Amino acid sequence: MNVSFNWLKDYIDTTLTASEIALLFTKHSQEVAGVKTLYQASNIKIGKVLSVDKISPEVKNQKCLVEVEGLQRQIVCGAPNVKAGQDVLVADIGAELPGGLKIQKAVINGVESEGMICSLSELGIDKKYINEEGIHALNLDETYALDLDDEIIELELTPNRMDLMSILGVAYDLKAMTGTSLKLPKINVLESLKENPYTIEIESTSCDYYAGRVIKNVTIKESPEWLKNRLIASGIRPINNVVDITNYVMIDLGQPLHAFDHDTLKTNKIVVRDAKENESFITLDNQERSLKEGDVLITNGVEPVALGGVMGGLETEVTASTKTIFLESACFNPVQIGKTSRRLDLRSEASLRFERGIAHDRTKLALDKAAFLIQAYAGGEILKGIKEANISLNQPTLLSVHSSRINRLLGTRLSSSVIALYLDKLSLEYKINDDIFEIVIPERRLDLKTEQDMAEEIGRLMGYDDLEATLPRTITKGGLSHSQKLRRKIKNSLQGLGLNEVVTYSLTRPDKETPFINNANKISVLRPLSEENVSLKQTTVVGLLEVLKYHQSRQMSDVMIYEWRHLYKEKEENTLGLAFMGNMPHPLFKKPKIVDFYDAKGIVEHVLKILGLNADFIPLEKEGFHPYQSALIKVNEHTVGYGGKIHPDVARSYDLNDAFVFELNIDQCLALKDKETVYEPIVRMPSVKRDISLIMDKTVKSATVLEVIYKTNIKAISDVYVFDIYEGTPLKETEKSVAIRIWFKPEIETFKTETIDAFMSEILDALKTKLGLETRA
Amino acid sequence: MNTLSSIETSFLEALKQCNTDQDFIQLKAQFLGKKGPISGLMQGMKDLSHEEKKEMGQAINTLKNKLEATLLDHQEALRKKALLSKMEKETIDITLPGTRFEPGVRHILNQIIEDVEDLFVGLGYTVEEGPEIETDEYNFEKLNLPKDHPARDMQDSFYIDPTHLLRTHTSPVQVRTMLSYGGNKPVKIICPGVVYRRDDDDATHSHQFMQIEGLVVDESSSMSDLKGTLLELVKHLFGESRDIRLRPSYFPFTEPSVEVDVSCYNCEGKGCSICKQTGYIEILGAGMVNDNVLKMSGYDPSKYQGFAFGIGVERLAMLKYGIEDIRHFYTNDLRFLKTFKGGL
Repeated sequence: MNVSFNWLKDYIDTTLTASEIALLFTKHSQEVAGVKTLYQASNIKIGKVLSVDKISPEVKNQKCLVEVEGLQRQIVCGAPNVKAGQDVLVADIGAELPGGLKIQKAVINGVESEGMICSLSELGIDKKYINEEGIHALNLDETYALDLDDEIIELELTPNRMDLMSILGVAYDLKAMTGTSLKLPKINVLESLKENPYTIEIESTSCDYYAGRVIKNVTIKESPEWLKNRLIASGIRPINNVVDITNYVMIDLGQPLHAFDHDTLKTNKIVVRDAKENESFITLDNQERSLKEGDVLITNGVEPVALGGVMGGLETEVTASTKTIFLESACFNPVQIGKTSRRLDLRSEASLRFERGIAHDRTKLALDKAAFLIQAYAGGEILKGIKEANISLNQPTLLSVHSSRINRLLGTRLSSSVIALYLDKLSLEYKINDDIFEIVIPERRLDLKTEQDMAEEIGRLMGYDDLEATLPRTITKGGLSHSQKLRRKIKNSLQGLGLNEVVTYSLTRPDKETPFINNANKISVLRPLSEENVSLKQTTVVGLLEVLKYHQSRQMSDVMIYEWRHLYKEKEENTLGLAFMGNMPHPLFKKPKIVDFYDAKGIVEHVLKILGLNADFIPLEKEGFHPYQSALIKVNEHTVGYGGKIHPDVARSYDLNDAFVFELNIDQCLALKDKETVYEPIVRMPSVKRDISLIMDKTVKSATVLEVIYKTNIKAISDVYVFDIYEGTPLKETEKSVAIRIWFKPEIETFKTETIDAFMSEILDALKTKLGLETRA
Repeated sequence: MNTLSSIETSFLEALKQCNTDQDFIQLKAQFLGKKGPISGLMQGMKDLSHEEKKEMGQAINTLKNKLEATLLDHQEALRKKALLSKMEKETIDITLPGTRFEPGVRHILNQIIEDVEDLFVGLGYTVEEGPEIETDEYNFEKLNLPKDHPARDMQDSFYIDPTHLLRTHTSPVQVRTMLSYGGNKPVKIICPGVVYRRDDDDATHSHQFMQIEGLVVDESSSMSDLKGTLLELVKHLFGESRDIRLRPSYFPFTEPSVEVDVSCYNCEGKGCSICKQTGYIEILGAGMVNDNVLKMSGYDPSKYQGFAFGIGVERLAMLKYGIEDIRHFYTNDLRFLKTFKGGL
């Protein structure tokens, strides 16, 4: 809501500047975005054009004799619409116009020029408010002096403060802050003896009240300059005197009005009814609107003439030839107006006010004020009487407020008399009994519904700067949950290993995920903003590959990253994704180590160890991965993740060389870990190790060999692992030599060599019978 | 006795010439061996009286011990010298960088979240999390935002179907927590997480961002407690000398509602381009939990009250570090991410 400072001063006397008022509002009411002047120019004066003469036949410019502040001066003007007798805006010598133009004495076409006659756009008025070409001729009027220095306070309104959608409402709030009394409007409408011939009927449940007046023999013309200025200051384009006055009163009192051309209404009758489904109607912007049941239609009893609360109709619009006006002032249901205007994308100053809720006790006042102003600026006679329907005046709303509740909410110790003082400032009527206030809530403040609302009023007027800063007194046991601590532990560990955390968007293009997760049940948003952000991620792989791609294309080819995020499947799963390409962060002067499957797998296993899990890696079949360097990660029978080398074709589609990505379902991992830590004393006797070397076909998986050794069920075996692989001469092309270390842990006494030998021959037997493997000589 | 001192003198003379282990072995044999002068003196003692024997024997032993000790000292000194010269040959350029173990870095947004979590854990809060796909009921209705409420316009949302959407704030976690508490015990939680708004991405808007919300519900927590709590938060994030300003505002889920500004850390409140000449920067929204919200989450507003606040993590980071474009957080350029490797 843009508030003209001069307009505000119609209602309240103040010694404060506009900027001081802006600060008060920011602190105690609504944020002020800024204070600006109507004209974005300095040193502008009003001048009267006395004469206009040609300089020479071939020059378009003309020389004008202009009287400014009692002195005559010559100004060269290029606008063809400059005429003797006009009142104009003159940028005086020294004036600075928007865009930095400075006005100086000049000689133009050999003629001296002192100043410049301005168009509105030269003064910084947006073109959308201007109906004319060339310089601006003022339409001066005695009612208001033309204040060229009016300031505009830009109030940013929150949806609850509908009361501030009028100048009068803003004045009420300023009064609440300063205590200065208000100058409330009194309107005396001079009616003729002729009766207002209309009948009003309301059939719609969305119209709470409807009132109308008739003004005969008006002259449609331009509005006086002050009125146009105030409308422009409020962000409304001036059109003609009658339309401008309806808008003016709406900004002034918050009550939207509509003027119909009486002669086009034809029936002297207004019937307000709900629209029928698919009924159509042409609004005054010449658009055919398809209506839905529930939209409010103003009709003349036969056909629709306006879309109630939203927009008038084209056929009954006030035009230059309009002679008689039917002026509407009504109250419509906020929810319905909101629905209609949103659906038709027709949000106007009027619909916005109806939607937020208007003060019903100003409906008639607004009608009278508009009629009064129309008579003053368009002439005519106001016919006798207001015709109205649904005169069920709301019962005054009462609100009980306990002082103690206010204090409990604010954390203050305000006495009831202090609270009463604030209620007085808010112009609220109340009775007080035992620290309980019975407050009469006026129509203009129907947002005040609860004790909490009143606590806000008292709090904001008192100013939150005066509030003590204390801490809650309730003692509670805070802390992170087990899984939150574990998440931090894993992230710390990955950080120590040199991985960087990334955060990617949750929405993606669904087909990108197909190579990695084949799930028909994608979850997509209904109205995506772009085709790249349509469905919710079901894998971390795509996001991580995109980050790798970003770096690869910028010559940063050594990247190790992880992301911890939700994936959105049947339920949301906490998931850890890890991605690698290029070299590990390598020691300086030492040979770079290119990340391979085992490096990546090692980091995955590291995370699994933190989670207390031992996993099996079994071959994976996913088209996005290298068929022989990828794995499904399983703990017992449960899949907890997958990953490996990205398929070369897929890698190429991301402009990547070799890349490795793994993903772990953390929720699944956490669910599987149930082992408590069990203490085992350190065995004093030394453990014994034996190494064996086996030659086998390259296709044999080491896990198969180790499993055979474990399955011998020799209890003393404490650890078995592969510590070396050899391929090459003298082995065959298809062979590899696998070196395995077996640790035996004694339980009671130190091992005798014969015992270990017996274990070994049992192991070698098993390897021979089950896999046909023999140790290398 | 003259003989004793002359042995010592000639030993010391000979010692000076010793440079190698071999020299020491020879010297030891020469003076302290069976054929050496000390042994000679011992053998010559048999002609002496018992008294003289005792006296002479002590003198010889003292000398013997002294010579042995001197020999060892000298030997050790020489070993140390040799070691030093060996180590000198091992001189390296200690100004060269150490072996590089490049640590990774937490994403700055998560660094801030963990930092704020730690502050509130210290104040007795727990950290609660929840799903990002929410029901309209939890995201809006139970937060006093019924369908057709004008404030719903403030948040355009990504709906999945007519009743489910990507949460527009982490407030539904507050609702879930209150409901799970059953309406009869105090609530002190913070809820960090990812949220979504249907905004086109540009330098200051992101369709996805992170938020931290806080909620306290008990029998007494007031606006003053909210102010004190937020003051702690702001000082923690922006420094001890910061101040806050609460301005009236509106949120459907709180009443009274406030916007909270921090005094500008750049100009100390004098006015600069960062604070748009106001001396203050808006950082978060807060207020007293609306009675309707308490009721819908099972808390009796005649007994319980409390406050809530919500802060945007990206905005916080952008203010704190002067980051000019919100998209940096989601581009994940390692050069950007590693800017924050030194912590907050």
